[in-house]
Amino acid sequence: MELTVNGLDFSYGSKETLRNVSFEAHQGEVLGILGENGCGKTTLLKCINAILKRDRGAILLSDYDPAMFSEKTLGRAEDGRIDVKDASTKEIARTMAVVSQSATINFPFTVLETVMMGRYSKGTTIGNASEDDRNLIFDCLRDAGALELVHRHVNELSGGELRRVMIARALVQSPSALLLDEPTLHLDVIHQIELMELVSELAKTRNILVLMVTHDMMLAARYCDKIIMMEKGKIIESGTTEEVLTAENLDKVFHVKCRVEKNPEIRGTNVIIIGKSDRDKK
Amino acid sequence: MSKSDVPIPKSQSDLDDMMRQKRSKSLFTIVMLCLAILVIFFCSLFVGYAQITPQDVIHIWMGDGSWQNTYIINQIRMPRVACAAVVGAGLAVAGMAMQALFKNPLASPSVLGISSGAAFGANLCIAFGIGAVFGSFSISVMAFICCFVTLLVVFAIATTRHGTPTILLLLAGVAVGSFFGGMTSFLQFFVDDADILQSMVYWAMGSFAKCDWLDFKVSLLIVGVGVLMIMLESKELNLITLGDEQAKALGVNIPRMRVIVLIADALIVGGCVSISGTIGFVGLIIPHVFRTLVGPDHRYLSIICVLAGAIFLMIMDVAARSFSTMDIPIGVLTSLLGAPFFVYIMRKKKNEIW
Repeated sequence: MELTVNGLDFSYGSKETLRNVSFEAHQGEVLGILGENGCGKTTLLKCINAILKRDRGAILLSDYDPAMFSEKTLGRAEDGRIDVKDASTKEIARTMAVVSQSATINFPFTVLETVMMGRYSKGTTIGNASEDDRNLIFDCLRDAGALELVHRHVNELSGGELRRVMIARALVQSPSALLLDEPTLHLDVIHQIELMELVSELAKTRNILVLMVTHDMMLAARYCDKIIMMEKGKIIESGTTEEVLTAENLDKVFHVKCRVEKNPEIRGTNVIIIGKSDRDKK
Repeated sequence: MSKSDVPIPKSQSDLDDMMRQKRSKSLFTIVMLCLAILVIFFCSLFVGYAQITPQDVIHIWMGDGSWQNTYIINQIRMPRVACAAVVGAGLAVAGMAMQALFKNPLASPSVLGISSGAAFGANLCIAFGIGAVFGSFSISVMAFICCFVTLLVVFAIATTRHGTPTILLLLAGVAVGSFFGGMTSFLQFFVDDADILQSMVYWAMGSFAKCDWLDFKVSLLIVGVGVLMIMLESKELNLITLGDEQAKALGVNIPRMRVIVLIADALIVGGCVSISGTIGFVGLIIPHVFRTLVGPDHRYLSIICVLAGAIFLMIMDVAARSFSTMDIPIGVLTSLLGAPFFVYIMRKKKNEIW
């Protein structure tokens, strides 16, 4: 599936949060959205997922699996492109899965029950799960490292454990696009690396489009194929990771002095944070 | 329950076993509650002011009891117990749905102030005969209408350009509920006639003393529809406990399910209040108690709440009839007996309650 965002505007009341955001994302690649707190990264994801209603612009899906949409929605497609605002909540959930930044679950569901809820949009429940569904659930739990948690209650998990459960739930949706909002937040370093390896592997093997909001420039440098840099609701840089993640850009957006280098021991690019930006020291 | 000693599942069949265990626990609870309902229904028939033994009850059912006893059992006690069962079942399920919808452990069927609205309607009728065109049903019909009007008002207040946020609904419900509570007190203040005042107060305490078969049939229909609507939304109720945004991302049409569940709640509360007056606490405690026992999966929990709520109010009604020669209002008893019971469960299971 391909995603095209065109001239997207969004404001919370009178506060303009996104201004004229346009970009394209393709299946099989991990696109990182980088920026400081409050630059509109999360809002952008929520607009794409149609959780928030945008003010202007278009968010178009093309090259999608037609089986995931109803006749009515397909009928509204122009040039084979569906705008997310024309799709129902269920159709969006069939094509896109989200792992959001924070979640508080009070109800004592078990981890297994919570993960199974990911199949809701595909019409599977605990009662009628087919052999394939149940195999998929097991595989997703294993891939997300949540297998050891299945007996626990979700309301008793730590932040990192809950995050792994939510990732398993997103995988269970078997989406064409995976939207991750700060996926590595609260995770132990080993789980951060495992998760990012898993995400980039999924993108390649299952040909999934991955959109990842993060402010971790080191992980972005290693695992993202392309990067969008945002500041105050606008895209200021976009392109391949090597093009965008330069010491100059990092200084501009994050106000830190970095060294960007190639290191044969690690994959992708290596970003070393040196300290505060020279510009701010004055 | 500590789960640290449980082995990590090695294959999908281990997960299947887990689900099967959980399901059989729920099904076992359902079967036990069904048996309990039958036993309690039978027992409740020979408790009361008139001395009727279990043998008498069986004779009456065989058709050879004395006519007084037959009348007492068939026309007074049976409809009364049946009404208690319907109201208990309805309130427990409605409370369960509200707790899930608002993700709030304090939510009860009347969380949106609809029972205060219904009480105001009933009191208007008792005090001034408003709605007398409905004849002998006027109090019930007025309660029912005001219940729905209240829901509409609350929904209208909470709706903004961007939809209807849950928290605004909750706050609007509190505001509208206390407004109608105040209006009801205002009405009572203005009534001079001691008899009318007494029936207003008595109505507010809740009672099944005046229930007949017609009440049972009407309430069974209305409450039944409401319960069914909630049961059909039980998968969505499961998902909404994750939070509105998460549920939406997983594909739940939240505005639709919320309207369905709220209308179901109003049907249930309206149906219950109009035959029995306001009865508190059932809708709050029954879902909590059974959520700690069988887990929060609403597909099973809703069935369990129907049975357990019915049992709870049947027992309370028996208690109301047997403590003294006078009927104690059941609303008084549910609070007096229910609260300590709830505290006991809460202390015992404090880790598993949310």
